[in-house]
Amino acid sequence: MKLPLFILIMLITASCSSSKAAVRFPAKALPYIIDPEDAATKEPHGVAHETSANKEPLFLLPLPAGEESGLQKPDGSWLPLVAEFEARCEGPFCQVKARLTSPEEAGLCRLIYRLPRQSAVTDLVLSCGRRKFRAIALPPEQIRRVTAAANEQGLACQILEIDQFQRMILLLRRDEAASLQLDFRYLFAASYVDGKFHWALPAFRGLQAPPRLKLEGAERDGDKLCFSATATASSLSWRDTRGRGLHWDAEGLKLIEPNPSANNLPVLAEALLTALRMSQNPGMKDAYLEGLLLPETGAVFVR
Amino acid sequence: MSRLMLFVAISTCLLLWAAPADRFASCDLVIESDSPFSAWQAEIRYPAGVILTLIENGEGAFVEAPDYDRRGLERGRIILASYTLENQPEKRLRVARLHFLAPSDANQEDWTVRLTALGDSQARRISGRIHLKTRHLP
Repeated sequence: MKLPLFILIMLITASCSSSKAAVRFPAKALPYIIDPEDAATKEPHGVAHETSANKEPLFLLPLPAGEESGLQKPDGSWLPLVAEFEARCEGPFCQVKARLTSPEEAGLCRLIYRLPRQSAVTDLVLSCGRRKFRAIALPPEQIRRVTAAANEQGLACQILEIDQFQRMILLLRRDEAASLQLDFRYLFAASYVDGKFHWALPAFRGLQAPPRLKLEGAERDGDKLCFSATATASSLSWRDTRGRGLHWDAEGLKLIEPNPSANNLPVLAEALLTALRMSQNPGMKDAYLEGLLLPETGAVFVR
Repeated sequence: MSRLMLFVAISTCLLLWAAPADRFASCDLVIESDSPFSAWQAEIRYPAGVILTLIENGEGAFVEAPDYDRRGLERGRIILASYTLENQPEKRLRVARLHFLAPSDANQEDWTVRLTALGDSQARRISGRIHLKTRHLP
């Protein structure tokens, strides 16, 4: 009597375990090779990079690294994932465009983008047609839970790993995977100490003189603000004659506001309408940034 | 010994069967105002067990995915904000969609949203209301 019951329980246990099995991929790297480090140093103005079979492949689809890319069909055969691929790196800004060969069969796919050494993604936006998704950085335990659920349900999710800065992981929903575009920004980390990155901004490497800054879009009643600028190896600060300005370091871009009580909507609106064009800087020659201030924490985002 | 194994196996089965399954869902943030708005900021609080995964753009002129404040991102709380430099004629608009993973027994009533700032294209503070509508995927 006990033996049949035990067998029944074991069978139930086995079925529960198999339903949580992770998706496996065999090993083959795509021939697309992008080297953002080259883009940031040799070609600071940004070009579309050619592929080369002699370099270490920087794009692998899907995870894990070293295993074959492509997607497995129910019959066990594998689909090539990407029909067209284009990447462009300009300073710390990267853009990747890809068109998938069989979107109806794409299912979940994963994209690894290997960043330059000692760098980290600070922002990532995925575009599928008119829909745009901004990634939320998650701790590892939550990543595991989301990944397991996505593998089981085949639903859309996008994960930016924050403990493994050398790669980003993307999961795509099958009906939105016909084409995609990734826009992301990364910064170089000068060192990694006590679980934190210490930053050096790539945009200002080799800077010979403080950048000439011109503030655009912040005009109020024709009064255009002019900022003075100072630059160091790891941060940049601008202040106007009233002591108000911007500070850019590892934490991001922040508003310098001498009067905390001014953290209200006019300050928000001013930062919202602020656009900084940086010149005399090879890496950021064509960069165009818009600021967004969140007054509660004083954090400012840039586009 | 066999009874112990039997107890462990049954307990494992019950735990696996009884645990609420995670599922993906999304919720829309809709802002209503008496006049067109160009900038907004909101604070959303969500129940434990929910993991936010993506922030999607809204409708109309809010074509960019909203930014979130990493310093404001704590367990169960996120601060979102966005703006547009285009004229935004609409007075009621979905400004963002949050995608998340949640236990299947999660309750929509546990979510709260607060509009902390709303401004027009001339940087004037205006009043408005924000609604949160959860959509569970099939």
